[in-house]
Amino acid sequence: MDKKMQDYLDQIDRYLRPMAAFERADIINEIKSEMLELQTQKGMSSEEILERLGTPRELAKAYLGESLVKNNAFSFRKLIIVYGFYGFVGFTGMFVLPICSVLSVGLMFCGVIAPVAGVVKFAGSLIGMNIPWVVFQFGDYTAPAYMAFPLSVVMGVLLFLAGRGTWKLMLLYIQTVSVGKRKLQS
Amino acid sequence: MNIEDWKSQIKRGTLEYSILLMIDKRAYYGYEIMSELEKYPILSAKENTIYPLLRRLLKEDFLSSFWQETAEGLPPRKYYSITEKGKEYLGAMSVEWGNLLTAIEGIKEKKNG
Repeated sequence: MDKKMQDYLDQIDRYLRPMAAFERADIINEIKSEMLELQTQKGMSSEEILERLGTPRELAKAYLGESLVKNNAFSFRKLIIVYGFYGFVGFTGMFVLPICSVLSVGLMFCGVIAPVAGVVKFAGSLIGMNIPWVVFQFGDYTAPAYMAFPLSVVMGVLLFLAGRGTWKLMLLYIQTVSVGKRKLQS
Repeated sequence: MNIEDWKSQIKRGTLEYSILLMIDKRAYYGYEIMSELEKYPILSAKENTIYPLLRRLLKEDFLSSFWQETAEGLPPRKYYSITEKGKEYLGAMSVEWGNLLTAIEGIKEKKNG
């Protein structure tokens, strides 16, 4: 047992401090027994052995994780993580979900309405009728009646795509949140 | 969802069963269990999975442990053997395992026919 391996065991021991002393000693002895077996029977170097075992922190955390889930002991770190996650999701969700859903439905609706309005205006101009309640205006520019239909189709498509994009963005948000929640529970 | 996620989920769900099946035959020590599992890539697991799992099974009284000296001049090894409660649990697991296999087979049949 060289110094590297002894240091490793000491570190595990330190990380496992929340556990009872006899349990800790049992865990350390078991790991030590494996180390010596790997060294003498398998001829592994201490570097190889330590690489196989993973960092002391990881290994200790695995032991602690199992007992944490089991006795559900209070953990300040766990609290912070849970608080942070739900705080973030709760806060962003308050804006993201209503804005995205209303916006996407609204945009898609406009996307459908625009070409319909364009057809009405165009048809109206064909029979020499000016329909005053359908106007295509972009800033200072007002489209002539014959341009109403093609312009309205382009606008409609753009609006519809924007609505669909917003919808997808919202789904992405929900998906990201769900994945986060699953990670939190595992 | 990629296949590695799925494999690790399967492993998580079946490792307990595999270990109990092994220990049901005879007493094993930790490293021995890992070397045995290494023969099957889908089940192979490292110290940070196996030791905590064994510890949990001990706490739930499905396993018991004892330290035994070795002839080869190595430090003692911690052996695990199955308890009566563990045998009952293993029996119940075997039934469910059978149910699962039957269900999967049934679904496969339906898909083919």
